Amino acid sequence: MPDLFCYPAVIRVIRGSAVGVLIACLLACVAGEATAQAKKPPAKAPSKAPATAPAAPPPAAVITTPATSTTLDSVYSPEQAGRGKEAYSMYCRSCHIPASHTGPVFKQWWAGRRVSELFEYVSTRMPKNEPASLAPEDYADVVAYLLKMNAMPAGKSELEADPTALKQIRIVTPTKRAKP
Amino acid sequence: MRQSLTARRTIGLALITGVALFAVLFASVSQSSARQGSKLVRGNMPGEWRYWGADAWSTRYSALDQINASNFGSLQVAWRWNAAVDGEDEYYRTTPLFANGRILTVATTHRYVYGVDPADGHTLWSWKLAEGIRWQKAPRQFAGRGLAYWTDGTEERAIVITPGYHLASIDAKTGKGDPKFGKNGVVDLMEGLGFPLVPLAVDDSGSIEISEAFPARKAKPGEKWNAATKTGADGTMGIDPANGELANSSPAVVIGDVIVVGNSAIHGYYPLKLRNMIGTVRGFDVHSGKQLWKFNLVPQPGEFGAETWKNGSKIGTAGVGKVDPWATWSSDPELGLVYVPVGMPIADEYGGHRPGDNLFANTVVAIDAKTGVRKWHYQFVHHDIWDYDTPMAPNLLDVTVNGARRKVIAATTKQGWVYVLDRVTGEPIWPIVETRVLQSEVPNEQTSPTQPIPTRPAPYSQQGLLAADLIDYTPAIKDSALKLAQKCRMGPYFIPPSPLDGKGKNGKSEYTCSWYAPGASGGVNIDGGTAADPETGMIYVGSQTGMSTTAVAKDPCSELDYTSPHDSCGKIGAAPAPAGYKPSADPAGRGGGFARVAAVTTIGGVSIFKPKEYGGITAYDLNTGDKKWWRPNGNFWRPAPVTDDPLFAGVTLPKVPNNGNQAEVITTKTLVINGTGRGGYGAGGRGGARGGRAGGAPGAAAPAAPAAQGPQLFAFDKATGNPVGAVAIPAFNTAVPMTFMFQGKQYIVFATGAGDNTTLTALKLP
Repeated sequence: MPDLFCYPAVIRVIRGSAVGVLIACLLACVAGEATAQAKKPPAKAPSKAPATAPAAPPPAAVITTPATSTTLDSVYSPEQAGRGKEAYSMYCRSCHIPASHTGPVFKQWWAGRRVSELFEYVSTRMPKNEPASLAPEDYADVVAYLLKMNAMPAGKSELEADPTALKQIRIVTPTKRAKP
Repeated sequence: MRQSLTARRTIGLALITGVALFAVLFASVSQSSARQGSKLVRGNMPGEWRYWGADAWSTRYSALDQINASNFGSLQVAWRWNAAVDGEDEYYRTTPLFANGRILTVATTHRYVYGVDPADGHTLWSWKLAEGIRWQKAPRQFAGRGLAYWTDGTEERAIVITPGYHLASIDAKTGKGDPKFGKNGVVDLMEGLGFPLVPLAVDDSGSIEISEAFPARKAKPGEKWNAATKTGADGTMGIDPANGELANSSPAVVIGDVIVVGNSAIHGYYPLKLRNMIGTVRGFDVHSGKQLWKFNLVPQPGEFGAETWKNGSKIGTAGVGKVDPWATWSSDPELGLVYVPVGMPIADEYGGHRPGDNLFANTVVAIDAKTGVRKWHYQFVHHDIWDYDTPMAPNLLDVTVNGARRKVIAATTKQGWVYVLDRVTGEPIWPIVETRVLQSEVPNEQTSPTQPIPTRPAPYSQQGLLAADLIDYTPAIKDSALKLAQKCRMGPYFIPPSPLDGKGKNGKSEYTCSWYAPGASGGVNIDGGTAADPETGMIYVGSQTGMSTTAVAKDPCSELDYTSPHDSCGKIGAAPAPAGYKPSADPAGRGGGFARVAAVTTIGGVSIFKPKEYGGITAYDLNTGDKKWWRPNGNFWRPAPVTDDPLFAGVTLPKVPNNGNQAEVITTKTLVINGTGRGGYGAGGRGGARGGRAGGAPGAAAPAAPAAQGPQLFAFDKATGNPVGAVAIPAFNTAVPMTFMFQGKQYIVFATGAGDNTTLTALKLP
């Protein structure tokens, strides 16, 4: 029943779900979603879950639409990173050390991808015991903290918990890494 | 003759002196007991909270009733104590004690100890231990669940086990280490286990990573500390980390003058090594800190239960490790028994290297606190491959079953059942039947043919996944839900994890994923658990219910054949990458690899699982074993999901209860008091430290819009479960609350927050 996975267009995911049994179908879904959503204007952060099906972040080449900004453009605020740090302490820290998502490791896995991919990865697979169990806004805060840990500059705006908006932001790591 | 007469006289005199001395000592002991014992109820002074679970029986019950249904909503914040003055924490998971006019608590990742004034929340004293590399590489680097308390009516002690595995006895009046206990109040718990202590060193400046990457190591001869790189040997001594890791997360239990101590271990998600330290239970003298006895939770050759490790149980054998009693414990001072809940062996979801039932994993063991001798044990899961540690102090109760007064122990666990046993003998009160269960498809995994299934009481969490658990509003919906569910292995309970690569014992496996309920988080887990009313024999189970899926895979740089899907290559402590290894282009390969583990569980935004009365708070009468009432966590209900999927045209969908997140309950004379826990899902705010969660348990819709309310504490009528009050609180509680009376005022105190924003928050009436 592969069509079940792709129909209707909105596939929502609840805690404990995450992720495709049929990888090909899911990747197709994501590609389809990417195409469909790229046509939409960036939306206001919804209070609902991300509308895309969770899947392995595809290779950067999958998203071919041009990004409108990068993570060097001050895309999150210090306050948001502060909230993200608290959520990180609350839910992530017992399993993760900074080395597993900063510096070369972060660069290897995420440089060139879109923030939406990082957001979807974190929000559908973490924490391990209860994936997708936090509010989308909390995941956006955690992503902001991950950007801060990787020395990306803060500014006045906040990351929205909206994959469509986050898809506009490309992950670029600074050449000099500050202390997290 | 004369000589011998003299000798006899001397012996006689000595005997008389001895008897007199004994009489004096006995009188003194009796006096001391009289001062304390006559007033103590289950080891606790009425109105106080001297144990993590209120009293020795872990009831979480207080007979106080100043705060009641008529005034619960008017509770106000009395004070907030900043728990992060000396450093940050993970989420603040501590329940403090209240004894003899002082709040005693731990805080920060170093587990520092504090005395706090109960009236205004100012710090009375603090106690800190620098543990060097032992702390840096501690697998449980957080404030922990709390403390133990001892008094003889004059002297008072706060007793802590630190993250670096030291035991300390601290004067509860002054915060100074007891000079007669160990060295300046501290006993090194790595001593007395049969391993030499060696100098330790590190190759990186960070913490250990789940499960055991980036560990410490034995220092090289002459190795020094490099202050610039923060690596090398800092003078810390400990057991050679090549043997594995030891840690601690829960308080000791004091019974009489014996401190009973356990340990925790690494997380078992992605172990790198086939061997690790084993769990032990040890008794220490409260006055001197001297080790009195040791009980091995992996029975060593010749000890009872060793034959349940078919490949051998000796420390150092492949497959032997963990089995750690990491949760909180209970005790019966009258019987002199301590009841130890025990965790599982390595690894969480694969046990092919340790065939057999693996005693004393996944048990409660009753141990005589004076001698360290096992009185009985009961194993809830044979050969665990589900991460079903026994995660919580069992509750002790006296109830009347079929007309007979019974001393019982009720263990609520991740599995979603209440196991009710006679606490003198360990015999089940109602039959628990060894029932045939599904067998694993994973190569070399030898699943236990049966598991013990209680006939009574009924479960409080979703068990496995059957067709009857799926939505069936129309034949088409039923058919669609079943087709979706059948993508992963279904069954009534104890469904073994499937091989992710599709390679089974005899070629291709039928499944590459398995449904998993209650799941590793429970059911009951350490954040939730059960309050018991010793007056009525009722228990109130705070739990969650969830549904996820599992699979196991080969980590190319781990010694184990299977673990939770993961790639450890390149990490300190991991095996070298095999020939031809290529790192996955998918970050999931490194971060956890859940990409191909779980399955889609909604159609058009509607969960395929029927909403059920599970999770939240479930009340049972243990005189009869009947389920009496049920409320979702925070009494929170989600509206029915809205969908435009034509499959649901014409169908009225039901509203969905909040059955996610661990409800954190205590009980008083008339109330069940419910904190919603760190997710705060039920109270509707946003997640993290601020509020709710948007995930879902079976039956839940996709994340809904946050409700208007912020963090709250809820009260229910004990007898009926009817909501009788709710009060706004500054932040979601992150651990089980506690209550006490001080200077005529009843207080409710609970931990909040994470990172550098942790507090104890106290409520009282205006």
